[in-house]
Amino acid sequence: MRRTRRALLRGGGATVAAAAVLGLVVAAAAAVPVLWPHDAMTTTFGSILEAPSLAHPMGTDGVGRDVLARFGEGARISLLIGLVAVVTGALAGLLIGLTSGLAGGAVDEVLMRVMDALMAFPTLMLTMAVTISLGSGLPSATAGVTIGTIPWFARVARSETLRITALPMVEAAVALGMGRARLIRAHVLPHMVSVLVVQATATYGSVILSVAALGFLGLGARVPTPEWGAMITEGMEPALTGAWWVAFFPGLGMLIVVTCTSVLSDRIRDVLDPRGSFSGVKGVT
Amino acid sequence: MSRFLLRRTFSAVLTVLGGTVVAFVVMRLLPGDPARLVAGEFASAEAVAEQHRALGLDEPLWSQYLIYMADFFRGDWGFSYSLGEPVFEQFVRSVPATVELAAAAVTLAFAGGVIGALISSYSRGGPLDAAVRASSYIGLGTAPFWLGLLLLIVFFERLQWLPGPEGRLSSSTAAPPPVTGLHTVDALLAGEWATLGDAAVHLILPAVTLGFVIYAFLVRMLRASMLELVREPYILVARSKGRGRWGVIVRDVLPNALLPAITVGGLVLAELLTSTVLAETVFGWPGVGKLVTDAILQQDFAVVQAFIMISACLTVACNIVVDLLYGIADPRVRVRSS
Amino acid sequence: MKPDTVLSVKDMHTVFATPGGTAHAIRGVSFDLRRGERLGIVGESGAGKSALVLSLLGLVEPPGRVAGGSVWLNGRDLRTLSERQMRRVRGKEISIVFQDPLTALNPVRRIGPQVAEVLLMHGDLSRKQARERAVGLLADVELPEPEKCYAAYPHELSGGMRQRVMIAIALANSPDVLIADEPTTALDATTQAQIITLLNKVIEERGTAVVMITHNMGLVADFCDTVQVMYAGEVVEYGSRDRLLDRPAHPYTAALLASVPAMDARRDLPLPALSGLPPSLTDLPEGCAFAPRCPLEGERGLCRTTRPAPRILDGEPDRMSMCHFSAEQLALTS
Repeated sequence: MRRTRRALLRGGGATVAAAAVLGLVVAAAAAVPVLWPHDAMTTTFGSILEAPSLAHPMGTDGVGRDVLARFGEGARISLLIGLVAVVTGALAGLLIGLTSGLAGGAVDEVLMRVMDALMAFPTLMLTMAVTISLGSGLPSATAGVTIGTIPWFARVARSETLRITALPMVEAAVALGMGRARLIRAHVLPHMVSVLVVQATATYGSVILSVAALGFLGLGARVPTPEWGAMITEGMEPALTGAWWVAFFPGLGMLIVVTCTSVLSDRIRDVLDPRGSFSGVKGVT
Repeated sequence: MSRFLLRRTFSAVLTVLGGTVVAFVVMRLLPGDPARLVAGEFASAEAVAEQHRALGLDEPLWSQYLIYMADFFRGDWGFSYSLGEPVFEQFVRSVPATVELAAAAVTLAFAGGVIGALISSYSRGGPLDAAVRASSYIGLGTAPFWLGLLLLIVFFERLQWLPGPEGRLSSSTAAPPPVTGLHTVDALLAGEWATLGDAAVHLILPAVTLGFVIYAFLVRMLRASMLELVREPYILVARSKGRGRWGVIVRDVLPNALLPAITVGGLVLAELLTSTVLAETVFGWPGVGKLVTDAILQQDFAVVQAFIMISACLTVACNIVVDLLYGIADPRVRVRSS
Repeated sequence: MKPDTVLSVKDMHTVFATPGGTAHAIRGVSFDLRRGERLGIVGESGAGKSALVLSLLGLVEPPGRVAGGSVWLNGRDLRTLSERQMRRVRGKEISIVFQDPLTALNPVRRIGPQVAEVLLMHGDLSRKQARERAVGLLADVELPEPEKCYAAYPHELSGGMRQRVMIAIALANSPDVLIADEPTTALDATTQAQIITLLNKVIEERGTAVVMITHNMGLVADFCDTVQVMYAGEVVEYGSRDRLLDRPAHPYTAALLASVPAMDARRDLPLPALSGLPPSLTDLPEGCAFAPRCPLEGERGLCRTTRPAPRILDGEPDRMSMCHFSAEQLALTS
């Protein structure tokens, strides 16, 4: 574990910077709603569309709400929904993938066909369909993006299950009478963790973008909610008449979170998957 | 080859069917009663029941699905009550705008992706390479609707260089005589240079917005596969023949990297379908994407359902075409499967 | 430098930056190659053979670099040439045949253009002339149906045929020096013999000097005039094939020979087979690099503290050994 941590840090400036910046956003999500004197929902009609200043570092929106306060709330919403969706999606995908990989035969065939069908159209379409059918709103949007991630996790989990159970060491253990439950506990799950972590970090950013897209389309968070996507929708009109800050900061927050997680995700993949790592002067000497 | 194709097509058809079943089932779980929406809010109970029968809603679900699919492939995609006309006609009207936008975006993205990947592999590890990598991360991390808005703020609101979110043409410009439906091409065919210019400047920002995500995706993939290929012995052989570093990258590495790029055609299409919904809305571009977002706002879900169905069919069809193309392009596959 | 020398390498140093520090892949290698000479360079993998090849061609790329030395070819130092000038040398005056013919040809291009392009790059030929010459070259390397081969893709040819194509490419412009980097390692025994016969023929026709990189002592005995043994980036012994194979003056050479089972009656050599691994190139021992594995008997403090200098052997002007105790090693086999 310590070796892994050191290897993660050795990834150089980009990795460290990404982790630091992501840390800042997380800190903002935690601290702003508690410490910042302005409230995300309080409208002040005396201060409508004020440009960024010391009093309002990110300005105010069309009904005089403080954008920084809303940014902080929005960070909470995005980061948490991302976490919920990815964890739920990973667990569901793990369950399906494990079942599929271990059961084989017809069960495998049916489950994977369903997963293929879910992946047949762009993830956002599936997400949209689920969200619409559940009725728009933040909870349906969360459910929608979660279901959108499941097939990807399931596919990874299944192929990993098949790979692990085909290892000679595992085949030997099964031949010696190891039960299915112990097989899963002792061999499959431990090996699976790293693959799922890589997949989860890679998925996290796209989940956050999807939630925002649903918010932007009017399928996700309802209007006064300070969700980043919905904030951009609210900021569109003002942006075209000079008040760029209402829509700018939530989009920037999203860009930062998604970019940093994908930098970290690539690094984690490099560390957990040694094939991608530095191969020394091999091929030269 | 033909057996391989047959098997591939069969499994693709199964996938499409599965996809449409999912789309259908999910959409039929809708809370509202479509019959009431069609009949109108103040219709009598009998009128609603009548509409219910007319829409086939009292049939069992599987038979509703069969009816829907049969209608779908006959071009009957349902009725859009918000605009009071068949969904199919709305799509026919919107497709050219989206095709024009998508073609421009893909052209930009592809050119940018190839140039970026070339620069990256030539100056591997250098500052230019870092810039290309950063641009790819940003492209993948940016919501298209936000990027579009940023471009509008800079080039329309501040600099006033390019038109605002007013669609494909200025209100003062008349559309060129329709031939292909693509305003730029039609204007060119008709020799209406002013219209061509107007159509082109309206196209720039939407195309850049839509193209940037695809660029980011392509450049990331091309760069990775080119850096891998650079280590191949035949690249060293090419160098040892007297080819320069740049020459090797352009003539030996790039063609071999473009080959696997075909395989992500399906992913590019999926990205295009997703992003076009988001980008068109920002620019008021009257394409399929805007049709869908407007329908969502109107709770007119027949349009959305049709779009999801089309997305599923297109994606699968694209994957089949990709397999075919790859078979034609790669001599190794060509021989193996014949 | 003797008058008929075509290639002269002087004190070549090549290093690679690795996370574990600087790897000294080539440490002061020098040698001369006469016109038509066949020099074998032998050593275990990791001895720096491939780094030497790249250094000669000027193709060492970051994280590696040539840190010093000179490479004289046809009267000028290649290290002082610009990349532009160097491109005119590669494929024209010096060329190379690689180990694995499977990966040395571009898999998605036809054979013919891959041969023709080296002609086009260095000559004033029309496409048509280049095509004719290329077909002729394919015939020279005894490929059946050269026209058909011209239009074939690499995967449609066998390993031996591909290696013939590589030889055709390397000899297309009749270079002065051909580097053969393990040219037969990836082939089966019968094909190996055929390829060596072919190489013999085509280089004799052209008077090409050959640097044969290999770990195969049998190939050295069959093919080379002179031999140079590399260990940890240095040349530890040099000499004519017969002298060196019969009476190795460096314990490493002796150990290498002992590890070849079917060489000849060398089984009486009082040497155990080589054990251990070559030293890490980032962390070389202070004295002789071979000392930790050296099978010569006795307590040798000198070897652990002092790096041996290359020494011309007594009475043998063309032989060099880099061992404090060459005389003792020689005595073992006399």
